[in-house]
Amino acid sequence: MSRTIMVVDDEPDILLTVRVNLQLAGFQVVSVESGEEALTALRSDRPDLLVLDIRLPGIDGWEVLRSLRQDPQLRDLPVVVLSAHASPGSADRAQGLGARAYVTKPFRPDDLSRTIQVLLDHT
Amino acid sequence: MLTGVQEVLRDVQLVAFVLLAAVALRLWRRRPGPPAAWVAGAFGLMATVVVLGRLLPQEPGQAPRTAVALLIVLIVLFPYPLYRFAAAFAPVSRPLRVVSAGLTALAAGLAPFLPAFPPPGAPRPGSLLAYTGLVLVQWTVLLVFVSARLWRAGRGEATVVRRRVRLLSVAAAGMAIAVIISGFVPAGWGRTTTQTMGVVAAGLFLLGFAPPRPLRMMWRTPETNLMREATTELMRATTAQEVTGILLPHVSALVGGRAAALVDQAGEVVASHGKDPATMETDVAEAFGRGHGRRGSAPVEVLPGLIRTRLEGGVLLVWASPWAPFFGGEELGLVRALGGLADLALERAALFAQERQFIANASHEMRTPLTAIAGLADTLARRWEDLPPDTTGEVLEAIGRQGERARVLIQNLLDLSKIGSDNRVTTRGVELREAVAAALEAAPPPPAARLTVEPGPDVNVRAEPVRLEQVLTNLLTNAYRYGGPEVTIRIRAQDGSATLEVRDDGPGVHPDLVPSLFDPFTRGPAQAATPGSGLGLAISKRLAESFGGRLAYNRGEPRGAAFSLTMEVVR
Repeated sequence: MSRTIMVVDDEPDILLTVRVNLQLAGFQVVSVESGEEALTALRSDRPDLLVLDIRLPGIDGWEVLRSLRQDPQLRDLPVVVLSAHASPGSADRAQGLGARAYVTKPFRPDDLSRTIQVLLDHT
Repeated sequence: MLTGVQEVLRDVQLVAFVLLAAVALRLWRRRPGPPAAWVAGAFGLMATVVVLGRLLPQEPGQAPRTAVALLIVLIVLFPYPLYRFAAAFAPVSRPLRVVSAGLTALAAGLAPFLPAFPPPGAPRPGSLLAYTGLVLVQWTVLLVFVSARLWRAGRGEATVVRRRVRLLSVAAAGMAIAVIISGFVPAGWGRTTTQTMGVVAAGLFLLGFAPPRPLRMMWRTPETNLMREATTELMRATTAQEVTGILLPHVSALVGGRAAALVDQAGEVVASHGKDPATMETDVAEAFGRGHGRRGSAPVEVLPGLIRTRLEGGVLLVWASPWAPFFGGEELGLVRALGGLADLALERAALFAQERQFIANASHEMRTPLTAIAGLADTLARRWEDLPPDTTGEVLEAIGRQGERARVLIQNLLDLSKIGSDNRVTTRGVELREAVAAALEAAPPPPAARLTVEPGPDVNVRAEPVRLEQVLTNLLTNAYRYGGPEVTIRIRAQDGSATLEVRDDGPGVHPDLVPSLFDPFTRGPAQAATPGSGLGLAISKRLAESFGGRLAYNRGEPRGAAFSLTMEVVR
């Protein structure tokens, strides 16, 4: 049974890049364009892993991470943060909020796929 | 021989003390207030003593008794105002206050009842000896206090202040010694020594109260070097923290201060040195309470224990002793000069920060197209055969779209830098209605938009036609993108200027965004999904300014955004 990954990014073409590659790696992909949508979708249908952009309109990635940590159903959901912030402070902050990996844009799509594979194998 | 020397010394003493009185009076005029008034009082008394002594007959027993008594009263009074001067800068213990005032009052009060002075060589009556003893004690107590306090006041002060107060301290000690000698060695060499000490003390007082300019400049060498060092470092500083990190310790050292702080217009401590910001609060609040921001108030003001300098970027406070401003007036000038330099450095640091932010934003904006283009191209190169044909088409389209986005972004960045550096714009009269028509041709309303061009006056405005059209196109595109379906163009002419307004009935600009609306990369949170780099308005504003126009934002009524471009009307 293939695993499901939810991807949250407000840029449709980044969503496309991630989706195409994860599909090629054999994952099921659910694409979502905002933090609000992501939280709703996560609660109704829990994926195996979440790929989350930080800069989102409305509820941003930090807020989503915080909400996940407070939700007993979603607390242990592995999250890979996708961010354009290359500062070390952001990576630490993401880790502090429970993210398992921090990937900065621009990234190589197969690196992302591999990171996700490793995380799922260890979960 | 001896009397010849004594006569010369008497003349020198007369000149020195009269000069000293003049200097003290001038000081009082320049720095009205208790300390200078006491100095003027002390040396006014001393000059009167010397002049009166000179006018009275020299032969023993010839001078009128009342004149001699007056002379003695004046001599006895002299150290008291000097003591009050030294006590004016910091409180004195109550016992010392009582003793100094009591001794002086007693000595002055007894003077009229003294017996006549015997001729030189003859024994002095006991009452006279006792009185001499009283005066010796009174002078010694007061002058030793003055000397000690002035010496201690020099500790940690700027060089000029330290040298000046220490010269005064030595002078006061010299006066005390002169009097003691005169008390114990009544005639002959004793008198010469007393006179010499008096002259030397007067000279030291003169140097302390009015050091000549070359001497002050020589003394000030360490502060001048400090100033030079600070100037060099300020020129290299690129962040506000660096600027305050250089300014505060240096400005404090210039006036021998204990601490310094930069406070913003709201009274918040921005940066501090030498003191915990929390302990500054009361002083800062007080410094702001005292007529801060009053029109016409001096750029440098002296408050109790605090020197306040007004800068463009806030208020500079230095915690300094009260001696510093009294004896170091020119050092306050250095503080002001350094404050001015710091202002420039802060302004420059703000520009640097803006530039750093701009570069960070520009690279941030480049990340999205780059991630998509590189990622998708990489995918195509590795897995072309594995992709369904629909997906391949989608991927190729996305690459093209993001390539275009990167191209537009780079073009905008180049435009922005070009407008900034190119000031040679030739303006001419442009028919505003024609410019609007041209812009509408370049940016026609999308099918969903309803455009209204309100009837208005035909005016010629001063502009550069290509740039004007670019501004109008940007405003129209923004209205189509971010506004509602209704877009209105309106032209108004008034008082030699014409205003073109582009209004929409969309949600308008979020109030939080309005202050930075025309800064590069400002985008509303809801706009992230709409194409654009956040440079359009920044470019438009600069373009408008390049031909003398003014671009402004107003909230639309009852809703929406209204951008107005105001230009000069030409006939």
